[in-house]
Amino acid sequence: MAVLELIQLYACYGERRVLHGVDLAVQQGEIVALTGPNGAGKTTLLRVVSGTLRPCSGAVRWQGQDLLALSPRERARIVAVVPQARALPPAFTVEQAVMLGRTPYLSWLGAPSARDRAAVQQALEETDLAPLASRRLAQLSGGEQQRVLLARALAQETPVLLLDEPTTHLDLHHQANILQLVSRLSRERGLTVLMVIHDLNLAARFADRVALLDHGALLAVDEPQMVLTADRIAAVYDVPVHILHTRPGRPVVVLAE
Amino acid sequence: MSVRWLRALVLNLVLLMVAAGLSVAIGAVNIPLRDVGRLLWAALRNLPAPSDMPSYYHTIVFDLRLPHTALVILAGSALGSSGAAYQGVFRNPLADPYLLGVASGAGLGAVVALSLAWPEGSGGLFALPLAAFLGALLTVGLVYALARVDGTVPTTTLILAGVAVGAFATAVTSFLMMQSEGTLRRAITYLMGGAPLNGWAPVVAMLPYWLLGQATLLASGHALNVLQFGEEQAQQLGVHAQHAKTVILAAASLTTAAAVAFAGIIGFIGLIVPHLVRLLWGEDYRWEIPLSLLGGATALLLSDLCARTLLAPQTLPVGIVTALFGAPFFLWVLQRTKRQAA
Repeated sequence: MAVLELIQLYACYGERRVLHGVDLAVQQGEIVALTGPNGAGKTTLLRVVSGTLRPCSGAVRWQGQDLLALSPRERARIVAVVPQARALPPAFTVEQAVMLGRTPYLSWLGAPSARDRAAVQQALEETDLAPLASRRLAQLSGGEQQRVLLARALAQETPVLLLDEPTTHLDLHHQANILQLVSRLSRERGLTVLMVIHDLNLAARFADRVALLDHGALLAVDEPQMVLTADRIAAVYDVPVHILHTRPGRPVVVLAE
Repeated sequence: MSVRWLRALVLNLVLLMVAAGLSVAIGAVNIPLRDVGRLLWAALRNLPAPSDMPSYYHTIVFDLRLPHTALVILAGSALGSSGAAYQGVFRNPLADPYLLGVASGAGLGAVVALSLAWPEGSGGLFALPLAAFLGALLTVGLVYALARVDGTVPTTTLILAGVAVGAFATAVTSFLMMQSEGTLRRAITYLMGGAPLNGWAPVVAMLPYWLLGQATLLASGHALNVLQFGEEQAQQLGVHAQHAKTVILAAASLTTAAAVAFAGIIGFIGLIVPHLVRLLWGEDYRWEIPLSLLGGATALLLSDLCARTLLAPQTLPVGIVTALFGAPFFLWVLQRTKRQAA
């Protein structure tokens, strides 16, 4: 059953149209990878769904409810975003940063209850950050910082998780690490995940469905092997590729000579 | 509630009380601290002053020193907490409460009033602070209106507008000062924080704005923490980023405008105190604001004390003292930063 629906979304930056009538229905507990060339509108799409950019027309529904009509606080209890780990405030500790994920549930004074502390503790344990809880963000590696942002989103305890290129700037170990974590947590907690990802192979490997966006339009959204074909990738990315089938349903894209 | 922060709070409270005590005791006539204490204690119990001390002690303490100390505490705490709030909103440790034109607007208002010879006419003593207060608020309002884009107020645009409007206000102020010879000296003294009014009247006048502004700032600590991750992430975490920014900047500007109107333009307190708090105790705006509030009051009390005693019986403008101490402080921070980077 489709729980997160993007209906005829058009987004504009001033006069410029960036999204053209995007329709996407995400199922409960599904992981959808949003791919496409630079400037295709992937991050814009995430910003619309998370409520930081008003669409010039269209709707975003969660279980039938208009997500964009909610207050930021109410929306933050449904949708959590894991942005790229960039320019984080250096002096905050890991625990402080993850505790901010409880903001939609805290009073304006920001004093955490036992429930909030428990949620933070669980998020820290799930992301293997418990031993680093009192480290300052400036002392962490890129991979650790990205995990902190994931932990913060998990502490938010939302049914929907949006990730904006969680693997950029990470080495192979950390790329695999974070996506395996998202995959496992999605299954365990029933999270509905929409993630923007550049790496087509990682998308193919970890997503239930892949959505291909180009110039603001959704070209295809289907199982990885149906979307990532040599013809389509060559057309969209303007490079010749080979598709290898090492596992059923999980194509591997390599550049052709 | 972390022990570290509580200890910091207690320490700052103690420092403030010591500084306040010194401020009341020291001056042209040095009143022993013990006698100050006895006078206050007698007043609290509604008894007449003890008879074994000069009668003018009572006058000096209650009509001069105490109100002056109270004014300095209000002004210093306003600058401290506003400085912390500005640094939090702009996510920049170099931000100070004058960034959006409060000081230049207040200066312009004051000089306009002086040029029009207001204080001699109606309005009397309060014409000058009132004009400065209005000048400050109008300037910040103008900066805000100029920086508004589509319902949002982007940080960079705010800073640019603040710099531009501030420069313009300063230019007009300088021009007016050049034209009116008689008021020049008075204007300069005011602009450097050297002409605070005497008595309880300015304290009472400033109090409502101070209370409103400080209460808002003290309640904004959590929102400021969330804003440290950027407005987009703050919005995604459920904070109405534009609202929060506007409210916090309005409260900080109001408090600073009141401080500047009644105590003159005093630099460096709003810049250095939050910086020191952050250096000593780390970053958490729920504590940074109250600690900067207390620290600002203490810092200004000590600066004011220096200003009154360094060249006694002459009183230096406080702004000169804070600048004299401010510059070496920044050099020290620079050295520290260089060493850390190496």
